[in-house]
Amino acid sequence: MNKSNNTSLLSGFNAMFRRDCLQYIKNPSQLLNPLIFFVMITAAFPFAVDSSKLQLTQIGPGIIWIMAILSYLLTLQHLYLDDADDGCLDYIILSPQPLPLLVLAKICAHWISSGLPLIIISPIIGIIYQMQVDTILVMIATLFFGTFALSLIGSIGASLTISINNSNILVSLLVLPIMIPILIFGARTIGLYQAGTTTISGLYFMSAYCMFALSFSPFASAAALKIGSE
Amino acid sequence: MSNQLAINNLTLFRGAKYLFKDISFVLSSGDLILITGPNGSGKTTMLRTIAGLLEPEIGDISWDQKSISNNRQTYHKNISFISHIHGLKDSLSIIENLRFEANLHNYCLDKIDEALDKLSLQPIKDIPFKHLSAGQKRRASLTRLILKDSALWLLDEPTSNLDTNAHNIFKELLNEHIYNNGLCVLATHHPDAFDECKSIIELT
Amino acid sequence: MWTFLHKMASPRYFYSIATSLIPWFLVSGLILMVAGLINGLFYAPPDYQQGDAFRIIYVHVPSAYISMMAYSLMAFAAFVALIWRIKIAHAVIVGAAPLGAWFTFLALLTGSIWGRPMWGTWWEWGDPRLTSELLMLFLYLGYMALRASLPNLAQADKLSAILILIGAINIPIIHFSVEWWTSLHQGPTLLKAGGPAIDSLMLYPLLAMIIGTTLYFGSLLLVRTKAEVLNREKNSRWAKKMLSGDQL
Repeated sequence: MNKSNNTSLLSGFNAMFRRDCLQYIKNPSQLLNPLIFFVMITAAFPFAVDSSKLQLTQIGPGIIWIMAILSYLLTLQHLYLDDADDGCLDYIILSPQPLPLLVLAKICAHWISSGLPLIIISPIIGIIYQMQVDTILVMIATLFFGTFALSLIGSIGASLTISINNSNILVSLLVLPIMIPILIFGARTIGLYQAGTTTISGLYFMSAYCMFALSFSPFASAAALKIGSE
Repeated sequence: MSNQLAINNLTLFRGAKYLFKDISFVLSSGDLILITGPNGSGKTTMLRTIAGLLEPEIGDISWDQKSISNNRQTYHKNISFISHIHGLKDSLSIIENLRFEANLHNYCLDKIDEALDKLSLQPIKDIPFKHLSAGQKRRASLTRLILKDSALWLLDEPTSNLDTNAHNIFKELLNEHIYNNGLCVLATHHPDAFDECKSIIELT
Repeated sequence: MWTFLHKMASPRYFYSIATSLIPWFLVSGLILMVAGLINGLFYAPPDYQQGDAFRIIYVHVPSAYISMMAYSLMAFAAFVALIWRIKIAHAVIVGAAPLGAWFTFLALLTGSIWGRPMWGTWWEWGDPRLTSELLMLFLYLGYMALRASLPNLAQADKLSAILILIGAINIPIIHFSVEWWTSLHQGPTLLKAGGPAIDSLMLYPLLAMIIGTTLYFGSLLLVRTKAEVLNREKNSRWAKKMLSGDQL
C-alpha cells in the first residue's frame, strides 16, 4: 500500500534530483567532457593572442563567458533525450508529481553537474587571465547566476527538441537569442568592474533574469515534453 | 470497488492515413481485453493514448464516467502502465531504479523487497541495469505491477523475452489482478496465451 | 464581430474571405507605398541635421515596424492556437514567419546603411536596439529551423508555438531598449508624449509608407496563409473541389 495518499512535493523533487545526480556520478564523462573542453580552450587562448597583461585582462571576461556557454551547450542536448530514449520520460509524465516540479529537479541536478564545476574551476582560469582576486569574485557571482539561468533557458531548448535526433545545433540556435543577454551582462559586468565602475546593477539584472527564467521555464519545458513525447 | 473504462470512437492519424479508426469498447471490473496486430499496426500508440500520453484527434476516453482529459491526476493514480521499452536507467541498478520510483510515487519501501522476491530478482538487484539479460530487464519492469496497487493495467507486450517460469509468474499476477476486480488492456503478439479475455481488438 | 472571428476559424471560410481581401490590401498598399515613397524621396524637405541621408527612414522605419508587428502577430496567433486550440492560427504563423524574417533583415540592412553616414559605423555591437533586433532575426530563423526538423505536423505546430511565445519577451525589449539603455539609436519619435517630434511634411509620407507597407504585408500574409491552409486541408472535400478547378 502507499505510505499516504498525499505525496509530498519535496519527496518528488528529491527523488528526481537524487536520481539524476546519481546518474551524473555514474557517468562522469558527461560531467568531465565539457569541463575539460572549457579549461583547454580558455587556457589555449593566451597562446594564440598577444598575451600582454592588458590584453588578457580585457578579453578575459568575454572569453571565459563564451566558453562557459559553449561547454554548457554541449550537455544541454542530453538533458531530456536520455530519458526520452529509454522510456523513462513516459513514467515521469505519468507520475502523480507535477511535471514542472520534476523538470525543475532535473534542471537543478544539471546545474550541479555542469554549472558548479565551471564555477569551481573558474578562479584558475581567472588567474591565467591575470585577474585580481576581487575581479575573480565578481566573475564567480556572474557565473553563479548566469549558469543557473543557462540551465533554465537551455532546458526549454532541450525539451522542444526531444523528438529530433542530433539536435545539438538546433538546441543552440533556439536558445541563443535568449542566452545572449546573459552573455552580454555576464561579460560586461566583469569588464565594468575591472574598469572601476559599479557592478551591482549588472548583478541585479542577472539575478532578475534568473528569477524570471525560473518563473516560466519549468512550465514551458513540461508542456514541450508532454507534446514531444506524443 | 467497481471501476469502468469507456473508450468511444477512438481515431488516430499518422500523417494522412488512419492508424486506427472508430475503436470503441467498455471495460468493467474483472475484464481483460487484448489488442493484437502485426508490428507497426498501432498497438503501442493505442495503449499510450489510453494511458493519456497521447491525445486522440477524435474520440473520448472516460474513467468511471469522467473524461480523462479533465481528470488526469486521478486517472493516472489509478493506472499502471508498462511500456515495451523498460523505462529504467541503464547505469543504475534495479534497486536504485526501484527506490527512485518508490520515492516518486510514495510507495512503501518494503514493497520493493516483496516485488524482488516474487520476480526472482533479489540476487541481481545490485547489478547495473545495462548488464542484465533481456528477460531480467523485462522482469524488473514488471515489478511496477506489484509496487503499485492500481485498478487499471495497461500492458504493452509484457511477456516478451520472458522464459516459461517468469511467464507463469506473470500469468499468476494477472489472474490475481483480474480476480480482485482489476481491469486490464494488454497488447500482445500471442493472444492464445490469454484465453480468459473478454474480447480481442485486432489492428491491421 | 465575434461571429466573424469564429467563422474565420473555419479553413474554408477563411480561404474565401482571404481571396476577396487580397486585391484590396494589395492595391491600397501599393498605392500608399508609391505615394509615400515619391513624396518622401522627392518632396519632403531635407533634414536640417542629416540632409538628404535621412530619406532612408521611409524604408527603414516601415521595415522595423513590420518586423515587430509580424512577431507580435505570430505571438498572438500562437496564444490563440495553444489556448483556444484554433488550428488555423498555426497556418497564420507559418505564413508570417518568412515575411517577418525578411522585414527584420531589411530593417537591419537599411539601418546599417543609414548608420554609416550618421554614426560612422555599419554596426555597433554594444547597442541594445541593434542587438535585440538581431536576436529577433535569430528567433524567426530558430522557429523556421524547428518546424523544418519536426516531421509530425501537430507536434511541430505546438512546439514551435511554444517557442514563439517564449521569444515574445524580445518585443518590449526592442521597443523600450532606447529608453532603458543608452543607445546610438534615437529615441521614440512618433509615439512620444507631446506628439510626434517630426515635421509634418516629413511625417505624412512616413505614415503613408507605414500604413502602405502594413497593407502590403497583410496581402502577402493572406496569400501565404491561403496556401498553407490549402496544403493542410488538401484531403477535405472543398479543397479537392477547388484544386480540381471549380471556383469557391
